Formats: sequence, C-alpha cells, structure tokens
Amino acid sequence: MRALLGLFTVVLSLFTIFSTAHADVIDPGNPYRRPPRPPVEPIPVTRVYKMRAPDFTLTKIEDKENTYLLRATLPGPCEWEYKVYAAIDGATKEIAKGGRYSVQDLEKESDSREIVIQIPEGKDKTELLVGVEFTLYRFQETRYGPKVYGTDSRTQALEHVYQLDAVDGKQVLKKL
Amino acid sequence: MLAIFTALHFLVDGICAAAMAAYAVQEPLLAPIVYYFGLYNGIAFGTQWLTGWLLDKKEQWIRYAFLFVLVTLGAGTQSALGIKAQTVLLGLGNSVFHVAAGSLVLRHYTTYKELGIFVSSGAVGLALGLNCIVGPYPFLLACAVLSVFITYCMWHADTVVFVQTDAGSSKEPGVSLNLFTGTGLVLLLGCIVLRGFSGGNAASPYVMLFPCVFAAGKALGGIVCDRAGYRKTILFIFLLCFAALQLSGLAASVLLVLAFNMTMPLTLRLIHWCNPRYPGMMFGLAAGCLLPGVFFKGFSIPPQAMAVLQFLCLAAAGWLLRKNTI
Repeated sequence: MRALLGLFTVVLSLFTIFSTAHADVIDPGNPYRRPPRPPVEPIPVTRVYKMRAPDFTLTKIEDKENTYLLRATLPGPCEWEYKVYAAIDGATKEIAKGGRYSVQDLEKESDSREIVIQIPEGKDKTELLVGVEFTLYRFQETRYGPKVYGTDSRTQALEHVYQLDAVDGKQVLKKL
Repeated sequence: MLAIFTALHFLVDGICAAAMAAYAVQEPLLAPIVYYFGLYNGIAFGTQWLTGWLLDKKEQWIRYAFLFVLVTLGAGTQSALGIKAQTVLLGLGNSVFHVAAGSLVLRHYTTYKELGIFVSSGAVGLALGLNCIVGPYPFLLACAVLSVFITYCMWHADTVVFVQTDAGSSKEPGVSLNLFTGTGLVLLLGCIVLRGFSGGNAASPYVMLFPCVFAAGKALGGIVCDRAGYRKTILFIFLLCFAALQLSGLAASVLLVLAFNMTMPLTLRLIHWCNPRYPGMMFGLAAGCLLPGVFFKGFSIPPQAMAVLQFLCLAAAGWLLRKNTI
C-alpha cells in the first residue's frame, strides 16, 4: 500500500511539474510568450513547375492525307487538350478534338499528336480555329523526387487561326 | 543465433524498404505510392498476429519460415511481377519473418536485452532501403546466405533449441489469465499505440540519425531493464523524457526519441508474459498496434502528455502483471 501511495505521489508530482513547465497558457508576465507547438495537421507543400511560355504549331504531314501534326510547347509537366473548329454554313462547328494528354516528365519540353482534319465537302477554303488548353500539374516534393499530387486549378488556353485551301487537289495550310 | 536474427531483421526490413523505394522512384504519381506503401504496411504489420497464431499452432513450420521469407522477398523485389504482387509478397515475407524470428527470441531468452537488440536493427535497414542508400540486391544476397544457414541449423539441430517451450517458459513468470492480465495487456498495447504517434516528424532532414537513435533506444531499453529492473527503468525513461523536454532543438528530439524507443523491449516482454503459450501471436499483436501511428499521420500527441501516459501505462501494466504472477 505504501509503495502504491509513493508511486502515485511521484506520478502526480511529475505530472504537475510537466503541466506547469509546458502549460499552453499566456504567461501573465509576458502575454506574447506561448510555448511553441507543431501544427497538428501540416498542409502538404505543393508547387507547379512553370518552365516556359506555352505555344503550339499545326503543320501538314506530307505523306498522309488530311493528317496534320499538332506540336505543343508545354509550359511544364501538364495535361493538355486541343479542339479544332471550322466555319460551316455560317456557324462554327467542332471538327476535331483530343485530350487529355498527360506529360508528367519534368524534362519533356514539347508533345505532339497527329490529327485528321477534313475540309467540309464542296469547300475550297476553310478557316480553322485551333485551341489548345494546358493545365499544369501540382507536385509534392518527396524523398523520391517531385511526385504528381493533382492538377492546378488554373488552365492556360491558346488559340490560333489557320486557313485550309484546296489547291490542285492538295490541301495547303496557312497560319493567319 | 541472436546475432543472426538481428542481422536478418536488418536485411529483411532493408529488402522490403529498398524494393518499395525502387518502385516509388519510378512512379510519377503520389497517390499510388501512398496507396501501395499503405497496403505494404497493412500486410506487414496487420497480419503478424494471424501469422503468429499459425506458427504458434504449427511450431514445426518455423523450420521452413526463413526459406519461405527468402522466396517471397526474392520474388517481391522483381518489378516484372507488378507492384500489386510485389507489395503482397514483400508484406507477407516481412510478416512471417518478424513473427518467426520474434517468437523464437521471445521463447529462447527470458530477459529484455536480447529482445531489445533483436528489434533494434530493423529501423537502420529500413532507413537504408527507404532512402535508396542501399538497393534491394545487396540486402537480398546477404539475406539468402543467412536464411539458408539458419534453415540448415534448424533442420539439423535438436527441436528444443529452436522451438523450445518448456525449459524457457519455466523461467518466465506465469501469469494467470483473468481481468488483471487483460487490463495489463490493453495498457501495454495502448502504450505501443502511443509510441506509434511519437513518429519521426523531425527525421526528414536527418536521413540516418533518427533511425540510429531508434535502434540505440530499443537496445538500450533492454540492457538498462536487465541491469536496473523494470520499475527503475520506466522511471529512468520518464525522467529522461522530462530532461529532454527542458532542452530544445535537435538534442531534445534525439533524447525524446531515444526515451520513447527504450520502452519497446519492455512492452514486448510483458505482452509475451500475458500469454506465453502464444509468443508469435503476442509479438504480432504488438506490431499491429503500430498501425494507427502509420496511418493517422495528421494526429499527434504532445510529448509531455505522451511521456506521462506512457509512464502510467507501463507502471500500471507492470503492477497488474506482477500482482497476478503465479
């Protein structure tokens, strides 16, 4: 019984010393002093790698009919997609689209896709509106390097207008 | 044999960590890394009680356990199998090794020192593997040699040497199974859960320092307990925590981590006493209690509260078990 009482006395004494020494209360003598406490739920630090200005080009692939190469200069590791619109009968219609192409490699500067664009029948000349959207990836630094945590909330969009002509049965693409 | 088990513990944890790290290096997305690391931890820690129970029931299976571990870990390092199969194989191999070796150490020795030394080496292997300092194959090669050697020894040795149940357990205090023992067990498991939340938050800039402190703490806890006794050791740990909390910076973190880890051999030995006929299952139960700390990273207990709660749990459990000793 004595031993038990002694044990409880020691425990309570030390408990009191601990709570006094580390009490999370404002010291009346120094109201600005609070014991430092680590954040309970640290928010993971993430970042986007914006490395260059985005851009894209559209060129004809000579040996393939109606096939064009869309080459995008990536702002960094991102997801990207494209849409091609043409003016048909006074209205703008979507004639080709693709995405969401994922580039997670930090070293990769550009990505390209082959796309098929058909001029509407009975037309010699068509204006094309090509739009490309880039959504950068958000990365978290880990001991194994930066890892994709998700996508950024912002999306960058670029648009260029091209003209597609039929000359001697061949399609010729010009940037306007 | 203790030296071989300790070395194997270092190697097995090293293989698993290095294989998982090799996957993490080439995986660009964070979400699958978190998922597979979680799955690995779940299998490795969460299945130990069941594996332990099986090995306790079928004691002769321990003879084959180390070869089984070698095969599963060897296959687990092969990325051609896919990360799902790798995770399951590595988790399973790790679980079987810990339980087989842990139960042998628990049966074969009755003091704290050997337990402390056996459990200490894992943290260092884990750190070397996780930080890609050593790849899986050097670990695997050494593990193969030791596993074959230990299997050979077990195969040719007298059964009692390895799967001894009578001689060793007669030296240990027998504890009758009742409410006191149950309460003591809950307190001890609670103490391990608490230790899981002590974590290594400060460990990131110090790749090897904290794992070495973990190892030193576990070994030191066993050695001190054998020399000074259980009661004096838990009081020493408590006072060490108190001293650490008066300091600041790295010194405080190191001392605190050292003190928290010193409790490991104590809790393991006492948990074994609660049910000495099932050393594997009891070892597995203790390992399973580390899972909450692995999964709930956001939750942390102030170190002051932890030092007090840990001391109270250990003191109460020790008192309950001693009171109940036959």
